[in-house]
Amino acid sequence: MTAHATRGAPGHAARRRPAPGLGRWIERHISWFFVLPAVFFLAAVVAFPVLYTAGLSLFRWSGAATTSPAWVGLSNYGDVFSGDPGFRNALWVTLYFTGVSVLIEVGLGVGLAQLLNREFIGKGVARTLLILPVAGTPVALALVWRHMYNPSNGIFTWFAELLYLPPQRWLADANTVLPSLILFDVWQWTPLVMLITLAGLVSLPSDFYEAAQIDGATPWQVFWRITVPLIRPTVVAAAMLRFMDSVKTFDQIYVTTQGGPGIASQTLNLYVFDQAFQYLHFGYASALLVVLFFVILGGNLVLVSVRRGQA
Amino acid sequence: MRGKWGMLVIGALLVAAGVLTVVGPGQAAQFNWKQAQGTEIRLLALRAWFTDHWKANLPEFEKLTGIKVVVEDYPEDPFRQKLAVEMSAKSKSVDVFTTGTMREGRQFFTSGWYGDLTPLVNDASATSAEWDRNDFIDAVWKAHQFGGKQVAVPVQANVQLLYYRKDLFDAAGLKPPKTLDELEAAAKKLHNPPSVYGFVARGRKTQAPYTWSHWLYADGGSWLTPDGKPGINTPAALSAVNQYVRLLRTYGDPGITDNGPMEVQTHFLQGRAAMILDAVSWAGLFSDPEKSKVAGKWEGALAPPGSAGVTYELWAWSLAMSPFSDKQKAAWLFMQWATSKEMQKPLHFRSFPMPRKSLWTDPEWKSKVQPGYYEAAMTQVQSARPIGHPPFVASPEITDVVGIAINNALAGKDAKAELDAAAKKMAEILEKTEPKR
Repeated sequence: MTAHATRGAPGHAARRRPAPGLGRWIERHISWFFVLPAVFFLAAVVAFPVLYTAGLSLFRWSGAATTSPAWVGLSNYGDVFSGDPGFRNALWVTLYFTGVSVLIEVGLGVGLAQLLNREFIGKGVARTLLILPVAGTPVALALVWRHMYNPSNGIFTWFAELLYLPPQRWLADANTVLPSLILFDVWQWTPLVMLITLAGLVSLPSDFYEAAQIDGATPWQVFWRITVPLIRPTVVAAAMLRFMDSVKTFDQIYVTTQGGPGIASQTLNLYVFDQAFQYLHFGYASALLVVLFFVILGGNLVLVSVRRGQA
Repeated sequence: MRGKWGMLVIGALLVAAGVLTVVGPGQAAQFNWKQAQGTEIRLLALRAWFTDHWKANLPEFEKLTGIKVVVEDYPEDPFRQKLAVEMSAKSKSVDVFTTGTMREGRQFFTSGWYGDLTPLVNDASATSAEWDRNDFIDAVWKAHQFGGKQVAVPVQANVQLLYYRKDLFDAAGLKPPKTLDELEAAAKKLHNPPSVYGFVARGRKTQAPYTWSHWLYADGGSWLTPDGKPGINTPAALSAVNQYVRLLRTYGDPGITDNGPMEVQTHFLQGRAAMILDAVSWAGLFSDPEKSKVAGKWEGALAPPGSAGVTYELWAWSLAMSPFSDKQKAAWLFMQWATSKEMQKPLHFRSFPMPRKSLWTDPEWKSKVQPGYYEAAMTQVQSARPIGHPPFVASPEITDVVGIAINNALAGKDAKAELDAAAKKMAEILEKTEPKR
């Protein structure tokens, strides 16, 4: 083909093969050109904002048109780690809220998936009902839960009275606000974990179970020795998803408590929101975001090692 | 040549006048509403009843001026976020926006985020005589000036009124409280939980300072002491917090630490509060028998004075113009229309108090509202001052600092320790953010 082309009219050949070296190079690396648009897209929507945030975290800037950003080096980070009680509180609240809610969601979600992974009448209905909370708009649901938690006329208060429990103030009390918010989060997001786990369970190969049955394993042994090891990668993936989402929870908490009472439910994300959009400390908020990024990264690394270490 | 131009100008004026008499019979014929015809402007707005009202009437504005208005409205928090991003990017795409100058006015003004309206207001070719700046209540109008510049035009005028249940007061042989101590005594007498709480008010950290500022000023305190120190841990401020906390912890509902405006409103609507001190604009809702269990059972009274007299706190949402907009003429025309008497009148008649004198003295409106409510609201609006938020560049941040202290005190922590810590924090913030005097 190539030889034929060079033997033809010179002008024609020149047009078809302007630079043999370049043409061959393009041909060899053509696959890279196919991914280029995606690379540019990612660079524009992912890498740029991350780098911009990291850059902004080195400045002091209020967004003012009258003054330009002032270079402060790492001093925003110094403030984050040394003298800011707001940050320490927010970090603790975030880890507590995320840790407890993800643990409960994964435990409950796997249990529910196990229950739904068998045939019974009304299975479809049960599954649909369980998935409903995931489909709800967080803000709308948060408003509903805020009313349900109302200490004077909410349904939870009525429920507590029915059970002769002492009156609770739910979201209005610094001691109960986080458990109350966790209950809301568990209610909304357990079904997601359930759904992912269920998909994993359905796709498990049946040979192991048949072998176990022949060997006379008890149901508990089957669950613990076969199902759990096989399903672990799926569950860890679900846990990772929930972890990342939970650390970033915003609307649920903002609508229900705005981080209160006091700062008892102020997560890192809410704290960043206040710093950036209420107080206009864009540089400091960017530094906090970078820290939040590493919190998420660290949490994910732990989860990845759980999956790799024992699978 | 000059003659030809002269003829053209006169011709254009005649045409404009002709057009105007057709489309705007109520408008002064010499004002040219069509001067920015064909422009498109963008309004970044808070989702609220006034925004809905503008949206519903926009076709009328577009017909009058030939200006197309794109309205983008969001709930308060996404709205603030969106606005901060656009303004810090010096975006040219926002022309007009909603703002609360009492809260973020100084912050926005020092950031250079407000366009100066003063030259426009004083320019007869840009401002319709019918719009009439002098019809705005002076106290409200002046609350929108910083550094001698008019930065916004109010779209409402809100004060905190004392709403009380006349039926309960009559049954108990009580008269509406004339002082804050009488208010406490009345709350004690009427407190009958869980069916009726004596006194309910805002307690959430972001909301408490606004209502509490009434106590602060009534007890002789202020946000800043005369020598420029934080005024929130003075003896007056402490006594203000003590009474506020005592009232709400003893005679309030169990959810006080989490009470925002919605909770206060709901308690009164449901008949669960004997008294509240909150927005004068809720009167219409409270009188609506379909939504209110207390329609016909309540009255309005002056927010009671304390040991050092009284200052009424003003709150208003307003419209401001972006300094980065290059369609300021069109933007200003929209702002005039949105705050015109014609546009504000229907809202005022729906009991959303407006900043115009002529509406407050409108005999028809006066005959429709309850006399006690009318007198109290009228008195307060005319002399209200923007004291509901700390008057600093870092107002939102200081509001939160004070709010957390009050909120913690409401939760049972030691008020003095909370206020001292808050004052220290406030001093640090002021040091960093206030222009040096």
